[in-house]
Amino acid sequence: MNRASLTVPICFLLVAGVMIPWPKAASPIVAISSGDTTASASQDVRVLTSQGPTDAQLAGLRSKIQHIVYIIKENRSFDHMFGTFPNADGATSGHISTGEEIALGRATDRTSRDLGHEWADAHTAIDNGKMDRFDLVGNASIRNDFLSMTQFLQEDIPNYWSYAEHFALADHMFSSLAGPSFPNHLYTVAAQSGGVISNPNALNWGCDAPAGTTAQVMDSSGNVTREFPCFKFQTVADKLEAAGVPWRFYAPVKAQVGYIWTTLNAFDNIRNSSLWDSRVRPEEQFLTDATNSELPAVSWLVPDWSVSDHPTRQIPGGPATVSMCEGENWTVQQINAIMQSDQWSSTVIVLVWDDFGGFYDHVPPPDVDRFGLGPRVPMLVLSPYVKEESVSHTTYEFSSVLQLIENRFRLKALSNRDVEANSLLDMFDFTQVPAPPLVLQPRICP
Amino acid sequence: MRAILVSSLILVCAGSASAQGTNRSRAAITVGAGYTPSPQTFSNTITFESFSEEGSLTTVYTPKKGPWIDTNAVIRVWRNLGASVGVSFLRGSTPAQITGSIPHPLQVNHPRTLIGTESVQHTETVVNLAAAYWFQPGGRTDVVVSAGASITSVSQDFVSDVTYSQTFPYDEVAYEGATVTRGTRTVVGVDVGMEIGYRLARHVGVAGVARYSGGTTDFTDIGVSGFKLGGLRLEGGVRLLF
Repeated sequence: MNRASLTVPICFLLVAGVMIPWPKAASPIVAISSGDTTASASQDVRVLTSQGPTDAQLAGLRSKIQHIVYIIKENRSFDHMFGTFPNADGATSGHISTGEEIALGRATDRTSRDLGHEWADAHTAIDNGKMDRFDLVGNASIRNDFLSMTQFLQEDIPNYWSYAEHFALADHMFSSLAGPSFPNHLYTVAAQSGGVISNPNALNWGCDAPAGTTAQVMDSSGNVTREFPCFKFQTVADKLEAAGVPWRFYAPVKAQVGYIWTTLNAFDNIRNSSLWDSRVRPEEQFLTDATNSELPAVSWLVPDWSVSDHPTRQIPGGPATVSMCEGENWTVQQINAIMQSDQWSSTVIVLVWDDFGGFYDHVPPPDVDRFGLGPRVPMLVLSPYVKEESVSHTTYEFSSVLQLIENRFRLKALSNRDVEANSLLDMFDFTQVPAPPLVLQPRICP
Repeated sequence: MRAILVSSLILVCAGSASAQGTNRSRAAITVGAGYTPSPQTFSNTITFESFSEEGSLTTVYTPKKGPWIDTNAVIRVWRNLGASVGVSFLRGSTPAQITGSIPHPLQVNHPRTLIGTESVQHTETVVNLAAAYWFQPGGRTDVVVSAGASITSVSQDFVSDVTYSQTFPYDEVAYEGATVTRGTRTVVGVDVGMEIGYRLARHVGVAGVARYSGGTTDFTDIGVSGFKLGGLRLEGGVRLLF
C-alpha cells in the first residue's frame, strides 16, 4: 500500500472540513442512523372545537377584561326590537297561521297585556321551524290588534338603538329554552334549567316559595312532573366562589315584584347559605357600586318589575304597566354609571332579554336538545374591546355568556350548553384602540 | 458510523494507488435510486389551552425509507482530483401517530386520551456540491470519494391541530381529523459521499453510492426545533462514462 495514497483522502477530508465548515447545528455522522427530535411549542394553536376560542383570544380577554356585567331584561324578541336595524337579520313582516304575510305593526311604549310565552306558546309560535303561529300565542290578538306581530322602530328605543350602533349587536342570539322566564333565567346562571320548562305557579320563584309551589320539570324521556322550585345543581356562581373570584348578583329583594327573577333564590346551596346575604344584593346597590368603581369581577344585574321591559296589563291595585321608555332609562342609568367609572376600561357589559315574550321573530331556533333553543332575543355587547359598530351573525344563547365568564376566570363548564355554545369572543378585538364610553341621556317618557 | 465511513475511505484509498492512470475517464454521470436505511423518527408536541386546562398533542412521524431518485456527476479536474455535483429527490407520505391529552370540559384533572393517525407529506431535494477524489483501485473498478456542502430543500407537513367529536358527558373523544401545516426550509449542510463504479463497457457502467448529507433546521412557527434533514442514503444506478 502506497503511503501517499493512504493519506491523501484523509487529508482531503479534513481540509474539506475546514474549507466548508460543519454546520453549527449539524449532527455528527454517528447520529444519522437514528434519532428522535422532540419539540414543544406554546404558540397559538387552536385545538378541538370548531367554536373554541383561540389562545390569542383568551390572552386578550384575560389581559384586558377584569369585569363582566350580565344584565338580564324581560320578554322581547329580536325582530320586535331590532327588526329594522341596518345590516341585521331582521324582518318587518311575518306569516301568521292563516298563511297570510302581515306587516309588523308599531309597538307601543306600554302594552295593554302580557302575551303568552310559556312552553306551549313558544312551540306553537315556532311551529316546527315555520315561525308562522305567533298569532296563536296567548293574548296574541284582541280585536285584531295583533300585538304579538308588532315591533319598535329606532325612535321608540333610541338609546338601546344607540348602543347597538356604537357597539355590537348579536342578531342570532337565541333564548336558551323555548319557554318563559324562570327556566331561561336558570340558564343565565347555570347553563341549564335542571329540566324546568315553566314558571312556578306562585309569585315566588325559589327556595322560599310557599309550600305547594311547583314548576314543570321535563325528564330525558319527555315526561313532565312538577317540582318545588329549589334545586341543587351547580351554577357558575358556585364555581366563581370556589375559585375565589368576587361576584355579586344584583337583583330585586323579596318585597319587590321583580324578586321572581332573583334566580339564585332557586338554588338551595346559595339561598340557604351565607352567600345569599354576602353575594346576592339589592339591585339598587349596583348603581352605587358602579359609580364607586367597586363592581366585582362578575355581576348579574336584574331589574325590578317596573323597569324590566316586561309587557304587562294593569292589574287593579297592582303595579303600573311597564313602560319600555322607563325600562330603557333604567338601563341607561346603570350603563352610564359603569361607563363613567374607572372600571369601564376593563369591562364587558352583556345586555339581554330573557325570552321572546310572545313577540314575533322570523328565524327558526336551532334544535340543540329537547329544551331549545327558543326564539331569538336581542343581545347587546358593550366594551372598549368589542368590535365597534358591528352586528354578529353567530349563533349564541345565554350559555355563551357563561362560557365567556368561564374563559375569563379559568373555570370548567357546567353543562353541555356552555361546552358547546359558540364563544362571544368573536365579537371582540382586543388589539383595537379602546372604544370610549357612550354616556347617554335618559329620555322623557310619555 | 462516522468511524466506519472514515475507515472505508481509508481502505478504498489504500487500494487506489496501484491502479492510478489506467482507463481514466474525464467524467461520469450516475443515475439511480436508493433508500435511507434508518430514517429518523421525529415528533413534535404542541400544548394548548382547552376548558381552562393545558392539553397537549404529540405527533410521532415515521418517515418511509424511500425511494430516493438520485443523479450525480463527477468531472476530473486535475489528476485524481475533481468536482462532483448531484441532485437527490425524495417525495412520499409519512405516517403520523397522534396522541393527545384533551382536558375534560366539566372536570378538572380528567384528561381524555385522543389517538389518531394521519398521513402527511414529505418532500426533500438535496443538491450536493463537493470536491472529489477519483481513483481506480484496479481493473474495471473506480471509486469517487467526495466531501463538500449540501443544500437541502425540505417540505414537511406537521400536525398543528386536530378535530374530534365528543358527546355529553364528554368522558371520551373520538378522533376525526388533523390539520396539517406545511413547513418549508432550505438548509446548507455537510455532504460526504463514496461511489464505487464498475465499468461494463467503454462508456457504461454501474455504481453503488453511499452518501450522507445532513443539516438541522427549526420550524419555530409550528413549534418544531432541531429538525434533522438528510441522513445516510444507499443508492445504486447506471453510470455513463466520458
